[in-house]
Amino acid sequence: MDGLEDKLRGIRLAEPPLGFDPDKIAVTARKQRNRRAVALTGVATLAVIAAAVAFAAPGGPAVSPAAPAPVVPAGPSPSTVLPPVSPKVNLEARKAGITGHLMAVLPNVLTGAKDIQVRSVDQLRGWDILIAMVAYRDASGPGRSLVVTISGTEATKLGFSLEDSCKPGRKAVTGLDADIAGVTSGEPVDCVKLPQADGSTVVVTGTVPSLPPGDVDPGRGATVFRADGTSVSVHAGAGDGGPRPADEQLIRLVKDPEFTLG
Amino acid sequence: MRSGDDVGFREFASDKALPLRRTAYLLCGDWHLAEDLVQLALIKLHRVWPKVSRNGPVDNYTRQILVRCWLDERRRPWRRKENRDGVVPDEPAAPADGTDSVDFGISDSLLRALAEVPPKQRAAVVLRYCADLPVAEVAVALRCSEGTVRSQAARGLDALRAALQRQHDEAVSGRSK
Repeated sequence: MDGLEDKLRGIRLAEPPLGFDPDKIAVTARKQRNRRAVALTGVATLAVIAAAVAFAAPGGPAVSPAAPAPVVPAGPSPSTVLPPVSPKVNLEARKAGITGHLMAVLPNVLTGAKDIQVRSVDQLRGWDILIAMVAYRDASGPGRSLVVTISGTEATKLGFSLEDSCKPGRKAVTGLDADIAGVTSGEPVDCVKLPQADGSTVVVTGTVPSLPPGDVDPGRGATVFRADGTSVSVHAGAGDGGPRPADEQLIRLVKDPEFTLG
Repeated sequence: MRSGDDVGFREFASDKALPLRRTAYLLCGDWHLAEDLVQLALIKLHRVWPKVSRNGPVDNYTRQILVRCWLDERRRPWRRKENRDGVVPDEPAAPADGTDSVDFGISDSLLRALAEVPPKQRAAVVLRYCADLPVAEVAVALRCSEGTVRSQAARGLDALRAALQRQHDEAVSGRSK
């Protein structure tokens, strides 16, 4: 013992004055929180669209690289420059039904949720798939979001299959032990398949509940693969650390038999 | 966030900004980066304040965020090649806590030596000894076992002694030239 511990305990610093106002941190944090809520919703939308476009491509007509580029109208959106897919179904009439049903069931499932809004229900390029974006607020504040995806048999076949679900992931280790072990924390490792009595299977995926402090929680999702080949998934954006829907709530939503395209 | 939560957070941020910056400085050896880390940690804390403040004292949780922010910062590509030496200003400003006279000589050499200790060992040493936290609290702050804290702190002290010895040897050889 050379007294090093005591020297460390008695270490004194020539501290300059604080260069920021702690009182303004809350204001800055609130602004960032609002920006993040908007950004997360946007990212979720893009992810869904990207996935849909990715699985739409094999089903669409093949376009040779040598073929002339399609005529693109002014102000093209990403979908206009991709190979067109012939519409297989028209789900316009179903959108209102899905919106109405979401508004009816969500207050019962998401207890404590307020200002529930179905911001959009979109069909992707003629495929048998409807994607509903839902926003709401709860006791911890605004910025909560749900993405409900209802897929018919064709879209389900081209999307992530039941067999592809729950691919082996790395063990979740967080904190200093993880740093020492060289393991990245926050891996999406939590995935479970729940066979149902009616022949369907519910898959619940997400990150481990205890993420490192301050890390963004990418949320949690549940998907039901029905025996008739259709599927319904609900992804809950976690917002900025507030309570997210429990697995039971997500499962209750995806198992709702009213979520169909017919 | 409710107004009561907001008031609580503002009080917490005002009370803890200086101690947190001190800890951050001991970790990173740069006052400007220390302030950035504290602000980042407090902003992240604000997101979860209603939840964590209801579960009791949040000091340890805040230290967790701070250490995580620092480790994340160190992993950034433009930080990897930097070698901070923990040099304090030539003419130190008056201490923020109002202390009149301080022997900065010992602290300066300790700070320089501390900067040579590997980051995770440094975190354990800073929280265990400089912040004088019990092993259990350090374990919570670093999200690891108490055994890991003890071993990391012990290795950190060994590394610190070695760095101090090097400094001493260099000073002696410098004087003899």
